[in-house]
Amino acid sequence: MTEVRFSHVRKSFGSVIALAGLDLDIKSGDFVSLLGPSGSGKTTTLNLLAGLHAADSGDILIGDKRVNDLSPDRRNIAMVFQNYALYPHMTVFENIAFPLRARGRGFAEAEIQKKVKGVAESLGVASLLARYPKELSGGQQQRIALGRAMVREPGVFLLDEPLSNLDARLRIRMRRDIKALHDRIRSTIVYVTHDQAEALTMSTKIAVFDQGELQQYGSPNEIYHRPLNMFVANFVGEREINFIAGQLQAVEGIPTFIAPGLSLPVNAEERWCSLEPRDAVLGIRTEAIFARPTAGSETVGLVEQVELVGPELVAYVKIGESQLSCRAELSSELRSGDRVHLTFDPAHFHFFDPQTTASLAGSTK
Amino acid sequence: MRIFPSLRGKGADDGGEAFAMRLVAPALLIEFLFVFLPLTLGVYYSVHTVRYFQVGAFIGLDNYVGVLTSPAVRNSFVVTAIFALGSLILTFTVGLALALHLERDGRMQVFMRAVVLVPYIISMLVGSLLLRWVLSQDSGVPQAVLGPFGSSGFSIFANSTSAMGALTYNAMWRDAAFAMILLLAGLKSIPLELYAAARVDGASAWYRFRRLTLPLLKTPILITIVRLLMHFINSLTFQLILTGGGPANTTETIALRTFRLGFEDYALGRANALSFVMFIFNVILISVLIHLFKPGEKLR
Ligand SMILES: Nc1ncnc2c1ncn2[C@@H]1O[C@H](COP(=O)(O)OP(=O)(O)O)[C@@H](O)[C@H]1O
Ligand SMILES: [Mg+2]
Repeated sequence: MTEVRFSHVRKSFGSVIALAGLDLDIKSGDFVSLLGPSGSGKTTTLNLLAGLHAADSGDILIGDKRVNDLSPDRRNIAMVFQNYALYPHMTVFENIAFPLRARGRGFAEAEIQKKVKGVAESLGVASLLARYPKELSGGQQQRIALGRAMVREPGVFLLDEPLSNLDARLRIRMRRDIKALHDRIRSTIVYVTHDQAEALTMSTKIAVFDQGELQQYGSPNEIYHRPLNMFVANFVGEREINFIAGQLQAVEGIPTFIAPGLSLPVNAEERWCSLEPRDAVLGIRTEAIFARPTAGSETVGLVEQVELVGPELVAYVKIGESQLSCRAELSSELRSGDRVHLTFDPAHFHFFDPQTTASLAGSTK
Repeated sequence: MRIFPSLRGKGADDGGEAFAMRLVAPALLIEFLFVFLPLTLGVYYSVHTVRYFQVGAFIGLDNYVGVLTSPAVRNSFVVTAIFALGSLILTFTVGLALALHLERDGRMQVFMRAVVLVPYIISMLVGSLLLRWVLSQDSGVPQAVLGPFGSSGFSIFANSTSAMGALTYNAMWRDAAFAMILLLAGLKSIPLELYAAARVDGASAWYRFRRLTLPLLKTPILITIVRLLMHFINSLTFQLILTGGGPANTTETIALRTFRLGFEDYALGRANALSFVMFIFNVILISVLIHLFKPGEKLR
């Protein structure tokens, strides 16, 4: 099987640094998502791996071979492009057969027939072989593009935002299909996306990019629950994370996070808790704050907006100087203007250094 | 707001219709004066004897029979075919090569696109005069190249093959840029991703050209070919200025023959008959062109 390694790979376009020294190790059979906002260098990374761009410096290895100087067709890869890049003047059959015929490695016609049909069947598009791409729906085109990549049985699949042109429902179904495909063929997959939900649901590992730099590389679980900096914490997750600027200090021997209107005890196992009082930014996701209507005088906030999110509510609550998004039960029937009590789950606190934006947990562990 | 109320069916508003007519009237007038009128006059002349602008008796199709059986006209058909096809092949090949070479948007490419456009934007007359001078026996390239070897007698325009060569070269020199523009527009409309995909799929440059570029460029290629062909068949300036039809009428095309029939022999009846034959032929070429532009006939 095939592993991939980037070491100190740099790439710039004129004065734009697209990739600033990337180090990335992808194990054989991994499904790695390159996640980041647009312009963060994901496509550049993929194109470098494919050989469509040449790296300015550094080494790119596929298997244990340095491939910097190999042309794309000799890298044992196949690629699916964002707009599918199906050949518009060829039928579905000819599209899928293209990689077999183009190499001129003399596949017999019968063998091509067999391979193309096999791939088409496994993707459920066997009935479309005689059609032209423009006669297909977006989802079908997507499958053909996958088929064209699969037919060569490459060591590494490269996919550049393959689902971004599909509608929301279809995207969710294709996620499962692609994951099932990966489970079946067990090839290494490098998958570019700007959609954190795609990355979390499909990958075995996620590499988060911002401005040409790798921010964090880890399992979906690590990325979600142990973000290394404020960017990752904020980028991953359905909605923006709540950031609260304040101070960490011991109150009556208990490490506590203090911010205007808030005083939150912190789990004491974390080592940084024993440190001197210091400025910190608390990052906490919507699902770790629970809002409940109150009459009493507990920690109290004012509801400013309420959204219905499927089975529950999300309330935007003003407390001290910050507005926090929190969960609330549907039955609580919160409205804007209501006063609410907030419960914080300390297991989901993430503390960051306000200057470096790095995680305090990460920096001392 | 309701400029074309009559288009909506009933309740036609006369003021609106008159306004619409006033809008298109100038265009119609120009069309009438410069297309319809000369064409009608031409057809009228072509079925009469005309001597020195004096219209004589109606003679039916005699002028047509006359020109179509004349050896000089027959010669001009052959010459036109050779010139048009030769120029087409040369111009198209060079135009396609230029388009492929200058497709990328590098600084050099953009600059070179402008450079190769120069022969196309200067007047045809000036361009042909220029080439005539460059190729002339005394002061031109032949003397500069062959002179040092002691040969001074060679004249490009005195030999029928080299004269035709010079003529095709003149056509290519001017119109390759035109072909390049049409083909470049076609090339630009092919998504770059297709080429990236083909490279990853293992297609060589030649394979990509043959299996992607050519088929995806089919419509622009056909349009270019028809446009060039029409242009070369009808062109007069090249022949008139560069070779004057010589030597011994070996480069006298139909257009030049028509010109001479009309303005040197003053046989306007016959000249118009010949030009009407050309007109029919052009109409056929134009209908091919329109067919190529028709939606639904487009390639996938
Ligand atoms: N061919 C190119 N020429 C110039 N700049 C480019 C090119 N490709 C990418 N860039 C620049 O490099 C940066 C990273 O781009 P890219 O890798 O495409 O981002 P992403 O795929 O994450 O959206 C961007 O600033 C982009 O403008
Ligand atoms: Mg991209």
